[in-house]
Amino acid sequence: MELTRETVYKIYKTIKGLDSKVYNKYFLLACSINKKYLEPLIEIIEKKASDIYTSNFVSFKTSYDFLVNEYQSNPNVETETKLNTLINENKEIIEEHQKRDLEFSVWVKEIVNVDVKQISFDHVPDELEKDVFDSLVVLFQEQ
Amino acid sequence: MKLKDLEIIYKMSERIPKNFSLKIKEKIIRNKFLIRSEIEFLQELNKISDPSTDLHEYMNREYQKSSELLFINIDELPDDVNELDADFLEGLFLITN
Repeated sequence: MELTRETVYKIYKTIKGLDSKVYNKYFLLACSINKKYLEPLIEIIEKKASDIYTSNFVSFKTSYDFLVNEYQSNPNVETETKLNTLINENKEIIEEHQKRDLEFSVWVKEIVNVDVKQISFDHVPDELEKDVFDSLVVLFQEQ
Repeated sequence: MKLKDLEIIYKMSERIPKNFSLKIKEKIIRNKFLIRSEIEFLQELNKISDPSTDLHEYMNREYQKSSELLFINIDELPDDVNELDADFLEGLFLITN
C-alpha cells in the first residue's frame, strides 16, 4: 500500500496506544501484525527525527529554555542581553537545525510502499473512537 | 520472525492462562522448548554485548527455525483473550495466524 511516512507513523502510534480490552481478538491480531510490518520503517523515521537534534543544538536549546524561563519569571535587560548573545553565538547551529527540520518535514510527507494487512470490516468494532477510526481507516478492507 | 520476537514469545509462554485449551497450551509449550536454546544463547550474548550496537543488529536478524514454530489459529483462542494484558497478547499474537 502506498502511504506517506507520516501516515505510517500515525497508524503505528495509534496501534501501540490501543486499549486491547476494548477490542475483539480479530481486530487486535490484525493490528498486531500491522505493527510488526511497520516497525522497520518506524525505526528509520525515529532515527531520522532524532538526527535533527544534534548535540550542539540540544545544548543551545537547554540554555535557551533556561534563559527564557528566567526572563518570563523576571523580565530584565541582563537576561534579555544574555538571550540575544546566545542566539547570535549559535546562529549557524540554529540555521542548520531549521534546515534539517524543514528537510524532515518534506521527507515524512513522501509516499512509500509498505506491506500492510487489511482489516476485514467484519472485525472492525462498531464503536471505534473517532481518532482511532481516522487513523486506521486506510487499513479497512473495502466491502 | 526476528530474534527479538523470540524473547517476547518466551516470556509469554511462562504465563499461560489455565483456561486455555490443551491444544493451545501444547503449542505454546512446544514453541517454548523449541526456542529455549536460542533464548539461552541470547542471554549469554547479552552479558557480553554493548546493547546499543552489536546486540541491536543481532536481534534484528531472522530466526532461522521460524518454520518449525507451531502457530495458533485465531479462532482457537477464547473470545475474551483481549482481557489478558498487552505484553502477553503481543507474544501470543506473534504465534497466531
